[in-house]
Amino acid sequence: MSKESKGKNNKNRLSKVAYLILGLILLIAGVGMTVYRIYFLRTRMNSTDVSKDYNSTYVFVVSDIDDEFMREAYYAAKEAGKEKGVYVELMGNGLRGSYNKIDYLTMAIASKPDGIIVEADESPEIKNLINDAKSAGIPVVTMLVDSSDSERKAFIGPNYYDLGKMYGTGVYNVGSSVGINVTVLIPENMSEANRNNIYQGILAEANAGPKTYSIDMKLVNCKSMLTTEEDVRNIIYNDKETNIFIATNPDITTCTYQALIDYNKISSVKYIGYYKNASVIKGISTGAVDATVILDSEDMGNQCVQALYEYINNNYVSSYIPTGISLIDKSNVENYLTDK
Amino acid sequence: MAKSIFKSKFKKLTKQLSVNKQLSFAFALTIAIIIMVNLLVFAIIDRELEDHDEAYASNKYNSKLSEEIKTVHDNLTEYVLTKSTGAMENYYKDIEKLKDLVHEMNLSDNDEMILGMQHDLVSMIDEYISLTEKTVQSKRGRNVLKYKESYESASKMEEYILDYIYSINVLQFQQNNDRYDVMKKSMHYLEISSIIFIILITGCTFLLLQYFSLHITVPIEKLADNAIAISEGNFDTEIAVSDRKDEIGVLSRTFSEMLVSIKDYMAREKKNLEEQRDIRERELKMEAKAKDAELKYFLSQTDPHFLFNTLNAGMQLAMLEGASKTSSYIGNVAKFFRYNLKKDNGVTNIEDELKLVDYYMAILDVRFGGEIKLVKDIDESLLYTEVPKMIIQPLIENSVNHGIRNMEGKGVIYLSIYKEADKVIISVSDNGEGMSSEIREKILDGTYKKPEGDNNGNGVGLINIISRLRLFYNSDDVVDIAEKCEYGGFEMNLKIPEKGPRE
Repeated sequence: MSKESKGKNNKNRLSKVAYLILGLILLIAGVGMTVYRIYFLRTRMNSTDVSKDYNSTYVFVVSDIDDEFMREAYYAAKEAGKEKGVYVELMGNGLRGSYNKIDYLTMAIASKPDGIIVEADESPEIKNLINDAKSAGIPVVTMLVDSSDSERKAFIGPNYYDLGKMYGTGVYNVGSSVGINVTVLIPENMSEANRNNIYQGILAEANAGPKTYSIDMKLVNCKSMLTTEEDVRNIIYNDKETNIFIATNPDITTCTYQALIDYNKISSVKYIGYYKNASVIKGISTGAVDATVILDSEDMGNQCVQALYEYINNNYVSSYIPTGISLIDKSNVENYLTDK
Repeated sequence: MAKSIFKSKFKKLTKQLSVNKQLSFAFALTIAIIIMVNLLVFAIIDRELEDHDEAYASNKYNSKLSEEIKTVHDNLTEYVLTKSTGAMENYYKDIEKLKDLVHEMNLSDNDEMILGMQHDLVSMIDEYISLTEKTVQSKRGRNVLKYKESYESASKMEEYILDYIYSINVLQFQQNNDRYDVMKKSMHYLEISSIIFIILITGCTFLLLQYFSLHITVPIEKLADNAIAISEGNFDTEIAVSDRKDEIGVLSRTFSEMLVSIKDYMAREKKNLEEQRDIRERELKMEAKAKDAELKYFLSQTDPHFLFNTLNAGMQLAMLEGASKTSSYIGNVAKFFRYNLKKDNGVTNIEDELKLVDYYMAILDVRFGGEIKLVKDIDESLLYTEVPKMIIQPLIENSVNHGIRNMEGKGVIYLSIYKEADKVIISVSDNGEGMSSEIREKILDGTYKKPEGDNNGNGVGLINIISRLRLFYNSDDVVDIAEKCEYGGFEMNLKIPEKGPRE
């Protein structure tokens, strides 16, 4: 190859390389800028269009949106809803003002959802609101606590007799070393029927052994945390005979635990709580709390969505759906300690 | 395929443009690329800035919506309290405004929770509007119980709505802040990527410019290389003739044509010179042959064997008759002629040449009765120097015939052989008549012609010696005729190279 043709080839190669580089850079720049735009827009649009992704909306109304048990139930409901194309909204989540269950239920009705899941009670206000919702064409299911006189479509919660039996098992387990006096702290607004169911359940299980326990039921004003605390403290302070205390709702559990510590009764009496939280679980592991009865929150949340969905689609649902109950004591507390 | 067609068309176009236009095109193209890149970057930055503006648009909307709800409720309250027509008109006007405003609500571009709340808000505002309408209707119908109840419900709903708007606003503000941070970061990346992009494009544009520059300068450089090669005498340099239509194409074509013209001219000149040389060569050969023929003519004038035998017979006869002088004379004559008959390729040495001179002088002694004297001054060491045959005796003969034969008094011939530098000088001089400078010049340059009727052949003999010596030694500087002789007559010096003839 002559020198000249070599030079020509080199020149051709140089020009080809120049074209190639130029083309490549323009391509990379174009693609890069486009990808960048799309990526950026995606980060901006990192949201779900409720109306597009979901077919319907259920509102989840609870008295305390920060309650751990209710949060667990809500997340389970939300997941269950997602599978069915239902957006489950926790009413009051994100609101700045502080509201009670009645406010939340009012807002929920005004927001015209496809269904409402409410942690009810037997108060007439709740009953009226549930009936209003029904009039507005919104089906309501109650959970944990029922509003049995209302026009709710179903109640998803514990079977109180089963609950009582679970307490009875606890009494049976822990009561061998102490006396026979059992005090059950019951929320004032619990229906008479439920109270009886619990009582009967405890009796059935606790007295299955050689011991016969004397069961006393004391009502606690649960309108607010302050009244609950006041009542629980009074009961424990004035009590001289009780060997085993049983709490039947989360607030009563917390207040009783604190009062027993404060009045230095923790080592002399046995204590069975209701519901689990970090301090109760810790109490069980250290021996300060003997046992606690828990409901399966996830099962409850899930069942609520299933029930509403079933009613909306089939126009029928069973009016009572029980949720799982279990007892945590020293023998199985390990499982819950390793839990989150 | 399409690309190659485009490329060839592009090349064709650039080849047809003048250099000035080609350069302008290159600069315009590079500037256009840079401007385009800048515009692209500006467009993207502009879009980013728009996003920045949009970031807080939702907050503005919320505050507007909140104000509108309050206005509607104020009007409602005023109407409930005063039942004034103005308040009612204002209420209806603001209700429409509120409805329009609700339609403008951006129900996308938010996270799930905000979106859920916005849907609730829309329904609640709807509920609120129907409650207010119910209130107004009841008020107009003077149903105190009913309007009181619905007014309270509406007030409660307004309270919820305002809190909803406020809460959504706070959540959106947080969301927008997050977005603003993302945008700030993205602006930063954009800045860096734009800088890199512009640098890369500038680099590429430089390469492109370089390509254009090479497109123009490479043919010129090639022409310059060709010109240098030609100036160094390499006329066979191949010039790639460009088919470009620009000045460079013109330059390369005319340069190529010029080279062809020069080559033609040089070939013609060379042919002329060769022809002239051939003519001269032929002339010289003819001249040499003529001289050779002349010499042969002289040598063939007598039959040497016959002469030699005759002389021997004469010598023997003289001895029988007791004439010893005659015998010696005839013996010398015989030896003189025998020398000429020796087969020696025309080369001998100085000693033999001196012997011949002795024979000749002995003959002359008899002829001229001792009137001619030869004085020899010989460097004995030079006797074996090789010389062409018959170069000394003809010189002596020349001195005898032209120098001293016709003079009065005793003629003396001086023969001296000596070394001077790297040459052996054989000098023959006499005290005779000498030679005119005209003849001397003619003899030296070989143009001397024998005068009509002169049968001695003397000048011719000298010319013969000179030309033989020149041929033999391949040199012009082999002979010298002195303008003035030390002894008053003619003096000729042969300058024999000691090392023999040149190769």
